[in-house]
Amino acid sequence: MVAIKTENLTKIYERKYLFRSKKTNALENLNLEIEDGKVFGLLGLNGSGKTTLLKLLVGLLFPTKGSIYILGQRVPHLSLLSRIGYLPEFPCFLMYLTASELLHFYAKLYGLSLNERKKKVEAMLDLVELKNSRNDRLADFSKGMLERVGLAQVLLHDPELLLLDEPTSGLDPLGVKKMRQTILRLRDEGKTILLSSHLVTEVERVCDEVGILHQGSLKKIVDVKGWEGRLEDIFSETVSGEG
Amino acid sequence: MRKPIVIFFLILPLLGLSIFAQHQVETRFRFSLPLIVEVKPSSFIHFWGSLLGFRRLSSDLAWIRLLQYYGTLEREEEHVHHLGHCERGEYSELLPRCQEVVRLDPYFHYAYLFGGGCLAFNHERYEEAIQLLQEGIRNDPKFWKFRLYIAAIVYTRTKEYDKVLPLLEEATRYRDCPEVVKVFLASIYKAKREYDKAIAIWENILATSRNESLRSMAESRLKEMGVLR
Amino acid sequence: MKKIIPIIEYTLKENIRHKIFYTLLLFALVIMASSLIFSMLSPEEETRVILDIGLGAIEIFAFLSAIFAAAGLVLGEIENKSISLILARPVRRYEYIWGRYSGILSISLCNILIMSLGLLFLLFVKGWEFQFRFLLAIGFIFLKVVIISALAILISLISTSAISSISITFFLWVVGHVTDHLKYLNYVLLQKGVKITIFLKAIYYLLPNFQYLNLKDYIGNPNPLTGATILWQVAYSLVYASIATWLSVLVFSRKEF
Repeated sequence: MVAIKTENLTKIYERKYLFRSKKTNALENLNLEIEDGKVFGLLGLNGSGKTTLLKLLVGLLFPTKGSIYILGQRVPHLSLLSRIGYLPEFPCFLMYLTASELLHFYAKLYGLSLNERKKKVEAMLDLVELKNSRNDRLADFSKGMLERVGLAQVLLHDPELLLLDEPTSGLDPLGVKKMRQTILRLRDEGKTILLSSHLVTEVERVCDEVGILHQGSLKKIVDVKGWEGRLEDIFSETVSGEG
Repeated sequence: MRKPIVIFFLILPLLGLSIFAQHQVETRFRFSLPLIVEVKPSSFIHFWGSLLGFRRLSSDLAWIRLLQYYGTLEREEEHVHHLGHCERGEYSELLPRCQEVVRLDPYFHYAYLFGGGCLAFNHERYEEAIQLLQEGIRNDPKFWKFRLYIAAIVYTRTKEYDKVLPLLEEATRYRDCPEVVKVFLASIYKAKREYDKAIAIWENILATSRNESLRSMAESRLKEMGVLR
Repeated sequence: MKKIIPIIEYTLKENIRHKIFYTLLLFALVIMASSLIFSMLSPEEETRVILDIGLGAIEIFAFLSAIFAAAGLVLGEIENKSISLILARPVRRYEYIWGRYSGILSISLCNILIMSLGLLFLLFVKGWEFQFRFLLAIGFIFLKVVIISALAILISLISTSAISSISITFFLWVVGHVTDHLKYLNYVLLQKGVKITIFLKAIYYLLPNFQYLNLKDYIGNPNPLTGATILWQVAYSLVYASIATWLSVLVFSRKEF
């Protein structure tokens, strides 16, 4: 089954000034299909459109043209959001809440019952090793702790599809390793993961398939069997126009 | 774009309902206040207070300023006049200041009574006092005490104290009676040699007044009459 | 609709845990206490002065806390992108707006009740005789907050900064108190031969009309306030506020993050 499908997906940002407007093509006629149960890496330079695509999938942005289908349903569809977990690159949380309150709040937005919420929140705090800091305000958390909260909130409702925007960004080496292990474990559990990154080495180690995005266009899709340890070269060639 | 259109078509009837509701309130709301152009506020604070919906508070501030103005001695020597009553200044701005207070809040009854009482009984400015109280009648025709005070002032002007007495006695029975009226009544009793009644009023003022200068005046009057040593 | 309740809860927590909430509340109580000093300047009308300063303080601080919550916190959430993690969940845009709005009203109501209790305490200490119109005045202050909070949210979604949002909201607050002067303006202009009655009428009905909700200025008015009048005033406030809130939903539904 196809987990994500985009058809001629285009996103143009328009910034309006007093007597003029400026248009930026963030994505252009993107046609992408990702099968479920896979880890798909979206590789690209800064400004290539990776974050734009993820935001379009989750409904934070609206396409200028084209369509998006997630898990067989056309986006936007509210019920889809219960089946998707989204982790932005620099997650901003409600800093005046405690870790436990934040997760409870998000759990309530999924419509979970009180018992379900309690179980899931406890399980997530345990998973990300934040049980002892559950009643501390997020404003007092370190960067690493906030990243772990980010992971907890994305897995809270046991989604089928995970959208991770630069998941290893800002993590220390141990954090990176743990994230990698988590992604692989989730893949083994049958979840579909779309992650974006500009770090070739990380993408190489976890992804089954990689799409190279450059200047808003999907230039190439490479299977894990296809890159044979040369993903960095393939990426460089693609973005420089030689591939 | 379907949802935004639905919302737009929800807003239109609500807008109609809002206009209808506002019109209903307008026809039923019988609490008009004079416009700011009619009030002619003398200070920036009163102007902004009126603009921002703090008319009563602005009136209170104008009232406090009035009391400070009237409580300040304009000259050193006392001017003794009518019925042995004395005052220490002309206070030419007394009427305009009272008018500002009552135009900011036309239902500030005490200000009318106080202003009218001071103008008439302290300064013999009967026309100004009546003008102020008549403004009160126009703004609040149901407040009958304005008419009571006007009657007392008219009789005072014609020195018909026998007719003034019952009116002022009635006025002093109410809690909102300004002390200036009680002082004037005591003066009339003293002039008519009804000392017991005058003493009763001064004792009442000494016991209940929150005004320091009035209490000392009461004390000195009682000492003059030999009640206090 | 169930999603509105958690949003109300977190709005309440956000406000209660913010220093500004306590600062404003404390200031209001201090000003009420200072009214005791002012009232000494007017010994005969002490309770009147305390009452008027108290009601004024309640209104000012309820207004300030409402526009801070609406303009400052809602806009802040949009600017720091923490809203993304809310909208990435199955929450409808209108649920978010109505939830935030209801939360702001809840906190404003708490503020107003605390300040009213403080004022009542001061008044009773000074021997004030209770008037039912006092409760109506408090209720109508809340209705003003109902309208201005809805407008503040709408303006914060349209404007680009918190300062412009707060300034425009303040401007609407002022203008809402002088809409009755539009009739006088129309009269003066007609006398000078300028006919813009329809235009002025449109402005009159589109702008919020706070003068009819300004019951604290009419506490001493002997004319009775009928039940029908109160009902229409409440209806007007609720309908006007819901228009502003649905407009906010309209704007918000097209916003990208």
